[in-house]
Amino acid sequence: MKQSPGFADNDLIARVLLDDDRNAFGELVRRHQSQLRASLRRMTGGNVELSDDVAQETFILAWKNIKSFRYEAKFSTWLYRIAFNAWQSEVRKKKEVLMDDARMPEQEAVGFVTESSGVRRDLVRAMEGLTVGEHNAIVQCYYNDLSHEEAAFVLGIPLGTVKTNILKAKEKMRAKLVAYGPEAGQGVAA
Amino acid sequence: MNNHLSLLRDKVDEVLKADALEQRMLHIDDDGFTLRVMDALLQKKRLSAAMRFAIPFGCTLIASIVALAFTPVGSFIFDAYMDLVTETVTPTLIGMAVVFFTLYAVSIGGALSED
Repeated sequence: MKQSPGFADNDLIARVLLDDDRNAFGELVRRHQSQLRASLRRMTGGNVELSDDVAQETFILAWKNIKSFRYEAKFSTWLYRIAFNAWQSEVRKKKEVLMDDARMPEQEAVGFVTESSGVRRDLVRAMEGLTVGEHNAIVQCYYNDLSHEEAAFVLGIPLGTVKTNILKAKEKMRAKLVAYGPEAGQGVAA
Repeated sequence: MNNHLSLLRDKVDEVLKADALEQRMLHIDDDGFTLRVMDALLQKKRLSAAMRFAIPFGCTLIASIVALAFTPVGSFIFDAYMDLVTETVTPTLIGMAVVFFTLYAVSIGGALSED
């Protein structure tokens, strides 16, 4: 996530911890809201209202639990972890069973589509059919720009599972892109 | 075909990275989001059900004891207590029981209230 000029995240967190400074926390929210909301939109298949509700819940949980922030991870990574858990909790509430071997519903596999360029269309199609675990791993490692270790922390799964999911996801996407033939070739090469 | 596959092998990663970078560049306007979060944080902490029961119950109990003990009919509470000890059912004891159970019901109602 972008770092605005001024105080670093850790300085703001320290102010929140020491002085219960809501303005400092407000600055953290302002600073991270865009990337977090975008990430949640990808997870919720572009559902703006739902993703914003989960984002708000994420920041409220972050405020309540900020004392447990240990500076071992970046604040943004910690937020992604809370957001992922909040989203999973929301899914459970809706009784949508998301098992690791379950396939992504088509709408959710689409991700956060903002424009439909040829490349994106091909990519979105290639991401259809990924399992939830594979999709989550791709979103965290590529779209949230996390390392495999950070993605494992966010998703709460072993590092090896993240790596396996990424490999499997890319293998599936590769097969899909090949299946598209010349169209995919053009899209990918663009 | 093999060449195409090997080209694609690298391209999947490249395309994902390029698309992710493009997506990360997109900025979602705050549009009052931060304000909504901060408003939610400012809302008063809700009391636990136990506290919502204990506060009105405790306050009303103390107030009732004080009122009953120091009003002209101040002997009411002591008479009721003595009736209870001697296991004698009298209007005073019944009156005291009504006061106590009303107090209990109000407190339970307060504890169960969501507001």
